[in-house]
Amino acid sequence: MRRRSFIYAWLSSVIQLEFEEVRPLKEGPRGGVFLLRHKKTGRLLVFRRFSGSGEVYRKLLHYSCRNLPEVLETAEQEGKVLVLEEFIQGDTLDFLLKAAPLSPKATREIIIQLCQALWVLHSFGAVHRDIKPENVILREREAVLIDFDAARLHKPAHENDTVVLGTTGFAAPEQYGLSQSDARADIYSLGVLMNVMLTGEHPSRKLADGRLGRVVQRCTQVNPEKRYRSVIHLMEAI
Amino acid sequence: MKACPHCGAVLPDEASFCPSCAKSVVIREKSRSHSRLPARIRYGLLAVLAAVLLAVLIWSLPPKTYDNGTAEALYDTKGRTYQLCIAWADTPTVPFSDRYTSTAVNFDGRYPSLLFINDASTGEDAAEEFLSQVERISAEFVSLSADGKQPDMRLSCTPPTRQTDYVPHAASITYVDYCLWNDGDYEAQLLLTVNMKNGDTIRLRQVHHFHATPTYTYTPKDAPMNTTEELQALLEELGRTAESDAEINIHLPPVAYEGELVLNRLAVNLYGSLDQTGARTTFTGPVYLAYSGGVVSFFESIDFTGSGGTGVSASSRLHLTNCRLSGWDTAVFCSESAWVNTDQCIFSDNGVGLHINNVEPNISDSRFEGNTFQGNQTAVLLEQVGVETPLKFPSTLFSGNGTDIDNRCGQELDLDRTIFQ
Repeated sequence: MRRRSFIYAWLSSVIQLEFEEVRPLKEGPRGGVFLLRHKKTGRLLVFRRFSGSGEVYRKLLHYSCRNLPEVLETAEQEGKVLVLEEFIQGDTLDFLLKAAPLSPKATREIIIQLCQALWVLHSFGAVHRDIKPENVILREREAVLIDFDAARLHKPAHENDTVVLGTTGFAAPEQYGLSQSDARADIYSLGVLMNVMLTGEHPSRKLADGRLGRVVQRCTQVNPEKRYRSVIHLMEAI
Repeated sequence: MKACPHCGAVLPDEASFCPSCAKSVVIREKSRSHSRLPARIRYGLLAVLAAVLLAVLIWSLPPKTYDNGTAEALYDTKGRTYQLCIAWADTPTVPFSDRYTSTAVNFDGRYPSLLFINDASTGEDAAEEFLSQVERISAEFVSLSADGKQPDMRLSCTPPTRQTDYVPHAASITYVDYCLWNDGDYEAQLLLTVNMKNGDTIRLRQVHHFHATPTYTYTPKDAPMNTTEELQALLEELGRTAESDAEINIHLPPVAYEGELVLNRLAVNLYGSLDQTGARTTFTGPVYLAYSGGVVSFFESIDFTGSGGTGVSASSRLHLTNCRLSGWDTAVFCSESAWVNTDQCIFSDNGVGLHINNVEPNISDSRFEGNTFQGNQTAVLLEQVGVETPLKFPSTLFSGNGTDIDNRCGQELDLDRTIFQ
């Protein structure tokens, strides 16, 4: 506990001394996200401050994946979390989809890359729980999944999620209290995302045609048991 | 204290990055596998000795065949026991003997079947080392049956290949291509044969089960459905005979249905139609949805015209699109664990347009988009919603209602794109 307090104070002080704020990226009731510039090197980094659990960010400190931002530092004290992470330069998928839906080929490529990002998260028992176009940044040809504020580690003893997190329309039914969300909740959201990329619509309104439409259907089954068992299975299917 | 490996700055022991050069100072993992080399070195001499003794022993024996009729085989060679296993990529040490595939008829499908080779004692990937002792791996389907009848499907597999860029640790990938031509259940056995350079043969078997998911579509030409009684009889018949996972689409004639209709067996999609005068399929009596399971029923392009009472009562999931509901005490009532979504619907001249009273809803979407609520005493009544997520009414028009939204449960709402006149 003493170590945690120390690193929290240390990181807070380092942010003030070594960085300058470029602009706020997002502010809400649970916290804020800010773009910072490292004074000495000019490197841009993202700084998150929110209430909740930083356990997933803590795990990500030790992983490297080109479809996830590099988490540089995280600190936690009395339910408040600080995170310093790589800034991903690019357009959000949300921005691109405003122009037009994507081709099946482009959709497939992006979904496979998001599966690779989720494979890392799921491998240590984490669930992202907020997969949506705003949380996917396209860095040249790479899709990078960001924002793990809603993410949590799957604890089999819990019967259901006590706090509803995630974005409506993309979140799986179990995130609304049917059962605890596990990795298959992310598969549900990936299915919705895939459909939105292909048609611009939620699958309950307009399902994508053909083979990918069937994949979307399988991903968005209300019963998690009927969805793909893992992102690897989903990658196999598409 | 410790030093930054990039710039030499002094850092606290707990630090994961260097504030001086803004770089990470932790060692990051790219792969989940961990080398156990130090243990091998420790026991190296013993292992080499054991391997030599075992090699001499195996050389002196005739070639063997290993086949226990399952998706797993254990094979001893050069002092090491290997587990050969057809498995899922995320559980490479768990044999996967039966693979089930539900598919629509005439759908060309393909999926991979993965062979993993692991160290039997540690579970670690041992494919690279083992494959150096393999002459060839082949795959074929050796039996195909459908309740004793000639199978009504196409089924084939590609030769096994190693594609480490796809699933890094898989020793081989065999792609299975299939297409069911008719309804039914089919099964076939995939036989994977590994021929070793020393003459031994290892066989693994995986049973592939295929199930055709049926879709039933009914039009007035297929079944009588001009009255509520006829439609109810059709629903009862489908409830008795259709599979629980079947998709059922009923295209209704442009008639007025009188009396109550009950959907209590399975989810059904009802599609209305227009006659030459522009009159649409209409229900003048109440419609009840009370089937179990989470499948959503879709009602589209239907009028619900009442004179009091409740138009649509749902304790199952329902999605209404382009429907018109008028003249009811309550046009749509959603209760228990059900959820109702409406889009492009018109609610007019009702006591209550949409009444939500759920404790633990099975919510599928929080958006009620493009609707019109006009001339209702209360357009939307939120008695209990049961989820914390905000409900949205984008592009929905509220006009001339006594009360637009009676939010007595204090549900969070997102009315950014809602139009109030």
